[in-house]
Parts: sequence; C-alpha cells; structure tokens
Amino acid sequence: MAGAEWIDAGRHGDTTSGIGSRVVAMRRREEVLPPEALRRVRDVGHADIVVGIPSCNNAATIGHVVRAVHAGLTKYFPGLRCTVLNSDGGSRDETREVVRSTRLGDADLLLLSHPLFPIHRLTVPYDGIPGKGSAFRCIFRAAELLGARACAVVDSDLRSITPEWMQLLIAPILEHGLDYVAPYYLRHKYDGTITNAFVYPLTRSLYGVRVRQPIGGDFGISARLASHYLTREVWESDVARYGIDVWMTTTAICERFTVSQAFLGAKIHDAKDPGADLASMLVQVLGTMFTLMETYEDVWVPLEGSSEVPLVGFRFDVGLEPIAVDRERMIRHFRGGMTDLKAIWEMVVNPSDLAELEKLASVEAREFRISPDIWARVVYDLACAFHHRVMDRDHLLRSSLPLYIGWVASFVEETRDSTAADVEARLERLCLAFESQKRYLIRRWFAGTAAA
Amino acid sequence: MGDTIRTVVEQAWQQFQAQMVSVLPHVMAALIVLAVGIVFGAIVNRVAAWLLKASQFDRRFLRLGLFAFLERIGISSSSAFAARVLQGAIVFVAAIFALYALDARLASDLAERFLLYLPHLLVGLVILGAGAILARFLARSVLIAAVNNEMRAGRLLSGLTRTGVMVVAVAVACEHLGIGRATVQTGFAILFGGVTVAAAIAVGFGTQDVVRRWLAGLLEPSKREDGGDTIHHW
Repeated sequence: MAGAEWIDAGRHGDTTSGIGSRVVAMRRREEVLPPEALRRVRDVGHADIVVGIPSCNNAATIGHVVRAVHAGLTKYFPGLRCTVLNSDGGSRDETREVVRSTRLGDADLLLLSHPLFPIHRLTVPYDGIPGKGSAFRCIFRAAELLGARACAVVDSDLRSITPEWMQLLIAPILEHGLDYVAPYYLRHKYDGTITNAFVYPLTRSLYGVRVRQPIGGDFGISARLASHYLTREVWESDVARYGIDVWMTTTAICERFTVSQAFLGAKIHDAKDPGADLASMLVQVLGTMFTLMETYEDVWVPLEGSSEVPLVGFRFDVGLEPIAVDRERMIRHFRGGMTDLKAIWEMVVNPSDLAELEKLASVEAREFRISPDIWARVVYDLACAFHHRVMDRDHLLRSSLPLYIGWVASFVEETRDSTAADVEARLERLCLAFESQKRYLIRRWFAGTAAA
Repeated sequence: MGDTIRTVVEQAWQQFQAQMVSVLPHVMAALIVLAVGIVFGAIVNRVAAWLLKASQFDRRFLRLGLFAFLERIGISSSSAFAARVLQGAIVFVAAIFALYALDARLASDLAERFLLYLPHLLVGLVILGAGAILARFLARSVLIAAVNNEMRAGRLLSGLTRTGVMVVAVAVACEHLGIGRATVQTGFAILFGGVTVAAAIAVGFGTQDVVRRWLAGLLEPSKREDGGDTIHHW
C-alpha cells in the first residue's frame, strides 16, 4: 500500500499552502488521461511497477519489446504487481494489436520463483500534442493513479532490449531509493550523433554531471519524480515532442533528485521516426535545452567542471551493427549552408570562428575538421542567440542544421578508423572543450550576442 | 512700336523684381530653415547614436526581447535606428517650417490636406511594414528550408517569395491610398498570373526527378538500402 500512501501524501502536499500549490491542485483535477485509458487504469486498480512503452507505428519491433519487458518483470519482480502500459500516438499499423496479442510462453523462461500476480497489459491512446512527451505524460499519470512505486519507460523501436533492462532500470529505485536511472549503452560511433554533438557535452558542462545518454529514451523513474514531472507546466511545448528526454534528465539533475546510470549493453534500434524531419527534431531538442538553460540559469552559472554519475550494471563489450554514412553529401550540405545562410550565421557565431568555418567550406573533404573548441563556442553562440532572441527562435534553430551536419562530417572523418575506446576518448576531449569554454558562454550569456 | 515693347519689357521686369523682392526672402528663409534642419538633424543623429551606444541602448533593447522584431524588418542596430528616427523627425519639422516660410496659406492648405490624408497614409505604411515583415520572415523560412533539404535554388526561391509578398503588399497599399487603382490592379493581375505560371513550370521541371524517385520508391519500397546515409542522429 505504499503507492496509495504516496498518492495521498502528494495530494496533501499540493493543497496545504501557497497559491502555486493550489494552481497545481486545480490542474490535477483536469484529467490528462483520455476516458478510455482512465477506465482501464481504474479497472487495474493498483500496481507497484508501471512500465511505459510509447509508440507510433512500431508494429515491427514492439512485440519484442513487450516480450522482453514481460519477461524482465516476471523474472526480477515476481512478488510485485506490475502493469505494462503502451501509450500509442495513433498508429496506423498493427502496433496496438501486436501489444495485445504478444504472448510470453512459459517455456521461454526458466524461473526460480513464479509470479504472484498477473502482469496487466494496457494499450491506450493519449491526448494532447502528438509526440513522445505526451505519451510519457499519459504513462506518468497512469503510474500515479495506480500508486506505483517505480516507473520505467522504454522505446518501442528497440531491437536489443533484454529482460535484464527491467532489473537495471527499476531495482535502483525500489532497492536504493534513487529517483532517476538514465541509460548507459554501447552504441555504434555514428549512432546518436545529436547526443554526442550537443546533448551530452552541453548537459555535462552546464550541470556538472556526466550523464552519458541524457536523451537515451529508456529510463527508470521514482514515483515522486514522476509525480513532480506531472505538476510542471511544459506539456504544451516542445517537451511534449522530442524534447521530453532532455527535459526529464535536466529537471531531475537541477531539482536535486538522485540520479544514476544503468549499463544496458548495446543499443540497436530502428531509425527514429523516419517520417520526422531532422530539422524539427533538432529544433525540439535544442529549443528545450536552451529554454532549460534560462530556467536553471542560477544552477549552471556557478558550476565548474563535472563529476561522474554512479553506474550500475556489469560492463561488457558487444558487437554493433555497422552504420553507413555519406560524408560527401554531409559536406555538400554544410557548404550549402555556408553559401546561403552565412548572413544568418553572422548574427549568431562569433566572427573568428565563422571565418574558420568559412575556410572549411573550401577545403578538401579529407581535411574537413571542426576543432572541439570551435564547436563548443558555436554551440554556446547558438544558446546565447536563442537567449537574446537575435532572430526568430525557430529560424535560429533550423539554421543550425548545416552546422550540425558539418560537425558530423568532421566527426566521421576523425573517427573513421577509430575503435569505440578511441571515439569515447575523442568525445571526452570535446566535453573538456565545452567545460573550458564555459566562461565564454557566461560572458556572452550576460553580455549580448556574438554579433553585438 | 519700339517704345511700346520697351515699356512692356520694363513693366515685366519691374513686376518680376517686385515679385522677386517679395518672394525671395521667403524662399531664402525656407532654404535656410531647411538647411539648418538638415544639418541639425545630422548632428542630432550623430550625437544621439553616440549617446545611445554609450548608454548600452542596444543591449538594453536586446533584453526587452524586441530585437527579433526589428531584425525582421531589416534593422540590425536599435540605437542607429532610434537616432535615424530622431533625425527624420527634425527634418520633417524643419520642412514644415520651411513651407510656412514660403507661403503660410499654401502651407496651411497643404497641412490641412496632409492631415486629412494622414490616416490613409498611416494605414498604407502599416500595410507596407507588415508586408515587409512577412516578406522577410517567409523568405528566410524558405531559404532555411531549402538549405536543410539540400536544394540548390534556395536563394532564388527565397528572393521570389520576398518579391511576391512585397508585390502583394505594395498593391494593397496603393489600392488603399487610391494611387492608380486600375493600373495597379491590372499590373498586379498580370504579374501574379505570370509568376504563378512561371512557378508552376519551374516546380514541374524541377521536381520531375523527385517525382520519378518517389514513384520508384512506391513501386520498390524494399530497395532502400543502397549503401547511402543510414546514420542515426538520435
């Protein structure tokens, strides 16, 4: 009944004092779950663990994810009530049907102890802005209603998820009282380039914690943190889309929740929503990060350097699927940006770095390199231009796509023959550049834009 | 005959002299007022720009979040813009003074007509201003989208967008001000029709390869793995 106590405590906490609390309490009465989802959640009644799987047209992979989650909960939490909730964004394929029909045969598992309770499986649509964040909101609300003590979310496009992921994401919360478990994967060097170019270095240099996969997509969350997320006024913004992962990680760090990482092995997944526009994804992620920089200005400005975040799980090496890259095309994209968007970049990037980037546009492909210091300053210039609103924010973020593609081209060239360890060492140098250039960021942040 | 001609010429000259004597001081005064206004305006512009820069007006303006608005209409420095507005106001006031010095009745008449026309003029200016903002915004959107989609004609498309929006804005403003209504309407119709046809042809030619590839993709969706870019950005 710990879950029920938690709900009561939360409600009392919201209504005891303060206008802000009353607003939160009023907002909670506006139910975020659609009626169908609400009815089905109430039918379940109570759960100790809720595992959420957001989806949109993932019929090809979600069956494997559901089986792995089911097996993990059966194997590692046999004495607890568990619910698997698929929050679907209007799939036009068989995704929801696959979730309902997927079966885990008893022969698939050799169990030392058998589960005391059946695992409930719900597949419900969500309301609100179409996107992963809205799906998460639905999952968190269901977890709150069910009185769950721990919640985990996993992507529905995963091909490498194993039952052990459930234990690694949930056990630190139930057994050690942690609030947020971020994933730590082994990924191909050309996988997760937005993380490597922006999210990891920026999160680390700003907030002083080395969370390697801040937008990994698979997280463990405590009840009180899930409840805290629900009270925030962000669900109509880019957070409701691809900004959700970085928002969750940053909020957990900045609001002093206990954060750790879980080593999950390899991450092999389908390309993220092939229909999605890369520029829009970049806008949502960067826009959320830069907005959070404004929200948590008093947190990141005084911080210097960074520290490790505890990592649970047994580390091992794995083979990874190769990823093909068309570097020439990326460089052409960057050059196109330099030709046509230079006037915009002049308003954002400091003149000396822009001159260096302009030189790059005319060099041979094999000499195409963007140094860590220049890249760190360019990212900081983007953040400052966003902060000072030197132009329409959507234009600013969209115009950064060729710069990012240029960085990827440079990274691919630098790491062409590198091992995974070499690549990590190179990313470590990039992060150190971000940390050493932080004074530059603070100066620009408070002084004005690069062009001003 | 000769005397008559001489008398007429002398009378004309005397009348001219008399007119000149009465008008010239007004003209001179008007020119002096205008010149002083222009010089004073230029000085005020320089001084104001210097003072505003020294007081970090740009940075304060930036913090108000109004820079993006000015930037949209092509103004990169708020202090320079404010100084120029001040200069324009001084020159405008000087011009009115000059007009009064020239002919008070004419100036009064002009001022009255101007005041009657002023609301139309202001609305026309607002239409033009809104058109300029929209043109700049859409042109930049088109340019960025074209670059991000690796299209080579980004600047051309952006320029066409800007021109198209401004043509519409100017036509609407002229229509509102009552300037050459029929001519503007006819010209606009011809231009708009021409641009539409040209754009349709250009898009048709430009996208035939895209359409071909799209159709090929529809027919053979499984042949995507051609060794191209499969990088996972996320």
